[in-house]
Amino acid sequence: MRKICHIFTFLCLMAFTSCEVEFDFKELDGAPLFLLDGNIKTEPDSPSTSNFQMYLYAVPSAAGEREFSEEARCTLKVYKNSELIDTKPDITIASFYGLIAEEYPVNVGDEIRVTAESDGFPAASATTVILPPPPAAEASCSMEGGNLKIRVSFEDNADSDDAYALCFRKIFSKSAPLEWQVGTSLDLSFENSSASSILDIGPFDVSWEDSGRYYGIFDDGFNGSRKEFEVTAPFDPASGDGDPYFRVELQRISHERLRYEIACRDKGSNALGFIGLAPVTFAYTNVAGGSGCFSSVNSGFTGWVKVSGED
Amino acid sequence: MNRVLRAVLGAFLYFFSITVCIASASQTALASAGVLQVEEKRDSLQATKPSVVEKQDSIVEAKISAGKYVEEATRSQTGHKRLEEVDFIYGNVVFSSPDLIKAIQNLPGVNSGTELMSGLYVHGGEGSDNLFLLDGVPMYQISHLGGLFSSFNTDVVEHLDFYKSGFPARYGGRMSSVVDVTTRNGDFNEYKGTFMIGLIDGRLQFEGPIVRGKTSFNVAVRRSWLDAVLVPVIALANRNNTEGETIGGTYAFYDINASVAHKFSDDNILSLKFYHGRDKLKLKLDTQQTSSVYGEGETKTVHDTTNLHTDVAWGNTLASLDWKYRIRDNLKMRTMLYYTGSSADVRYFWRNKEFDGVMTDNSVDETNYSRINDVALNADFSWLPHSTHDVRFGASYQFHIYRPSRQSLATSNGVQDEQSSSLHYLGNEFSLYAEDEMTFWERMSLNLGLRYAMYGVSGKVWNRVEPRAALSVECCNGVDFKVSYTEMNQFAHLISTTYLDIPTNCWLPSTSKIAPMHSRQVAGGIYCRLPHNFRLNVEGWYKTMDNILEYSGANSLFPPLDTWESSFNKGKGRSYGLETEFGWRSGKVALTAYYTLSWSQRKFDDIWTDWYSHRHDNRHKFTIMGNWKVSNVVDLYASWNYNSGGWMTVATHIYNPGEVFDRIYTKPNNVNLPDYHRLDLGANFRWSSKKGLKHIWNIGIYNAYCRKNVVFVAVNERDDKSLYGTGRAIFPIIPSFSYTLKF
Repeated sequence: MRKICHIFTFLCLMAFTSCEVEFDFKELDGAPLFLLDGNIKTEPDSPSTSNFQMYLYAVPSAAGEREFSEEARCTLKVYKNSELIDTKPDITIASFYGLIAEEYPVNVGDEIRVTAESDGFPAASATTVILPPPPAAEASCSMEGGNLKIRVSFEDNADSDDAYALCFRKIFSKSAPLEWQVGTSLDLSFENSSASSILDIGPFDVSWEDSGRYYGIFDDGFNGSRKEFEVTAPFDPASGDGDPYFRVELQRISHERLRYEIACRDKGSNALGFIGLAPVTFAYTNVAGGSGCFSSVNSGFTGWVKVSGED
Repeated sequence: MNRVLRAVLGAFLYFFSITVCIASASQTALASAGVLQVEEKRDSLQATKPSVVEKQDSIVEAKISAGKYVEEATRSQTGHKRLEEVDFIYGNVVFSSPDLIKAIQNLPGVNSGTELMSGLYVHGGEGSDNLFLLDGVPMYQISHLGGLFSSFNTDVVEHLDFYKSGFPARYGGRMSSVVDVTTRNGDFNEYKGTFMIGLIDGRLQFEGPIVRGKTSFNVAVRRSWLDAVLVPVIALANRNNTEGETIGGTYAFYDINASVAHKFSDDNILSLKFYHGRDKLKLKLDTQQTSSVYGEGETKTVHDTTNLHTDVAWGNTLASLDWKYRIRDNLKMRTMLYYTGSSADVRYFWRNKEFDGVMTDNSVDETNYSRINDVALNADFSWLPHSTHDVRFGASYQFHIYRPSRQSLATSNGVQDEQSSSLHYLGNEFSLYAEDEMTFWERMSLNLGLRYAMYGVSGKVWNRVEPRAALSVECCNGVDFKVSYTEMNQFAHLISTTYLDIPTNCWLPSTSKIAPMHSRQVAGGIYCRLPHNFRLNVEGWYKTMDNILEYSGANSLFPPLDTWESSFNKGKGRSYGLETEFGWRSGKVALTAYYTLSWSQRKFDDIWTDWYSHRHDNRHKFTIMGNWKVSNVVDLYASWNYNSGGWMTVATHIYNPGEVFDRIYTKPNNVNLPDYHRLDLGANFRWSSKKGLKHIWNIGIYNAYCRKNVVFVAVNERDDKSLYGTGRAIFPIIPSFSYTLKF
């Protein structure tokens, strides 16, 4: 009997031993890489000039050195239709996390390529094409129970697969705002809408922040037809100095940008993937040899509309 | 000298026809037109000696019991294994129940995954790429309790045929393997049964005649009582909990196999079969807390109540009417009308009520329903136009109804946000097939087959032609060489956002945007029956897979129904390797060893530009099993399983300028997990009473040396910034006990 008790005790001890096992990852590569996150943006007031904006990050390998030398430098090159148009040498890797901004003369259809090179890094390169302007949008709005009810529509091109981003902007002004005035973006609310979704993006595919809240959508569901959105945003017309005005910025954007933003959002919600119980969500990238996204944007705006009272 | 044993008897299932070429045993049995002749020339290998149990030619009574391994070696198919009762009744006893799936997992070329993700990953395929047939009826959910118990009750199983390559043309609809389970009809002459009681489940099986010699029944019921075991455990846990938390949980499964068979004559049998299995899981966590909060110059008392409930129920129902009829002496028919259905209901409920003078009430109630129902009519013919030709042909029509749906209701202080999404597909699948097993020069057999499948859903029609060919050549005495080529298509996709075998996964059909999965496979090997009851088989394969799916998106237990066609990356896979089987048996001892060297890879252009390892790319797999019949009272068994670790994806680059970009993944499945191994031990003690009752006591130990096999892994960072993994094992050593009474 005593033997049986000993065996039983031994089995119980084994069964309740900590079930954790620690081990090393031997296969991880030690090389760092570049993450490029930028776009080249064309606006209606200067269609032959584009604003180039890029964040360039040097990302250490998980298995290698986490710190970069103060002397380490990166060279960024910009090509237009394979012709080198700009070189930015001596970008500090160790401490640089700023914005690289420039203006380049471009035409619709031009191919813009950027490369980032540094010793010890794989060369990173990405290409995008200057997009045509977006279609003209029509927008109207009215106040409804503390919310701004917005209606916006535009016609999609049937001959191409397009991607769009919308930004709903407001401004307070004592006189009619000028066209160049940007205003600030509105966050939409989908809480009480039939098009509501847990991700709070309503009828859109994704939303992201880029000096304003943008809502992106592929033209899958309305390819070649006129698309009308009816959305609401919390809005207090008395919260500013002057009369409230509203307008919509409609961007034609690269497919790559939308895919990238969707993948980044999904990657942030991948807890099971982190522990091997689900597929890992890979961030889409169009950067060869690196990570991130380089894309093209062409913006259009509706005119400023004065926000009227309740219907 | 007669060297071919050709026995074509009215088979009980699938009009069983066997072509057995025995070089060394040199025996011949010819069966035709009600005549069975057995001529014995030499008996050099005891293990390969065929024997005729009953000399009758009917589809009921005649049985040929040739050496099992001879039979396997002389079939033209590669990659085929038949498991009979003796193969699964002893070993693989987890929580005291013999398990068919665990027996298959031991075989070479099959990766079993890890606990929680346990399944059959055959020649690089996924767990959902296997066709499971229970008496010819497809079964969608093949396990209970996350793969710990299979849905097949071994009390009624007669045998199973497992194909991992060289698929005969009569099988189709899945890409990687076929598991064809055949159950027994009830005894036509006497009543008998089995009763088993184990630690967490019990079984009862009873069979016998309804009309003696004409009609029989066979009923088997199985149920777990983990729910009863958990009641005192949970009560104890709640009694010690002083923080206002109440936990609750219950789990149970049951399944029923029932059949009635009627013999109009020995060549005309009608049977009705039924299976129903169900799992139910309920979990709840309720918290009630009262706290004091100081704010706005006063102290407020806050009452907080949170309820978190999860209810899950899932299972299968199968029913079939099966008619076997001999039309002419050389032509037999099997016609079957069947229904198979699978369902899974998952409800998640969360509610939080807070009162601090003002009541706040938020709740989320989500329910996911997943249904698939098939109705089908099959006709299968077996025709023997000549002694060297065994022709099978037939047709099948299946009507599929796919119906997953999801409902969500979020309430926030009386404001309700209701969402629902559902999919409804009607699929029509029609297939025609023909195969001919030809024998040449007594040493060679060739199986040529062709299968045509048409699948229509939502206006889209997919047409597929699947060639099948298998060649077997007897090189010398006891040594056979085989080679095969097969193509398979799969029109049903198991949609899952995780790797877990959970009921939120749902089946959906190929559509205009999702092409059918398709595999091509070449396999070949040498099969040797050596002197002194040794056998050695070596087989290799190369397999490609197209149009396979891999989820890419946010984690959610519920697959995205509205966008499922665009939420999965489309890619391809390949697998190749070499598998060996070595065996020896004597009168009392049987030893079997399997070794597999394999590669399994994937390529999804949207994820990675090159081939990468599949998560179950286990380079080496080794299994050794032994049974020792010590005496008529005691038999012992042991098995040791080893396989190289699987793969998982770990961030290759880490930085943290913002929340989103903190991890960069470059190559999928880039790190190797620790190896998996475990030892299972067991013993059976038998005793027969004077009244003819058989008593069997079984004790077993699963994972005898308590190996911590990793199921999931947390990625951590040391002080020196290096990464390491912390793997979690969930199944330590598990002792089991059961008592079985056969009456």
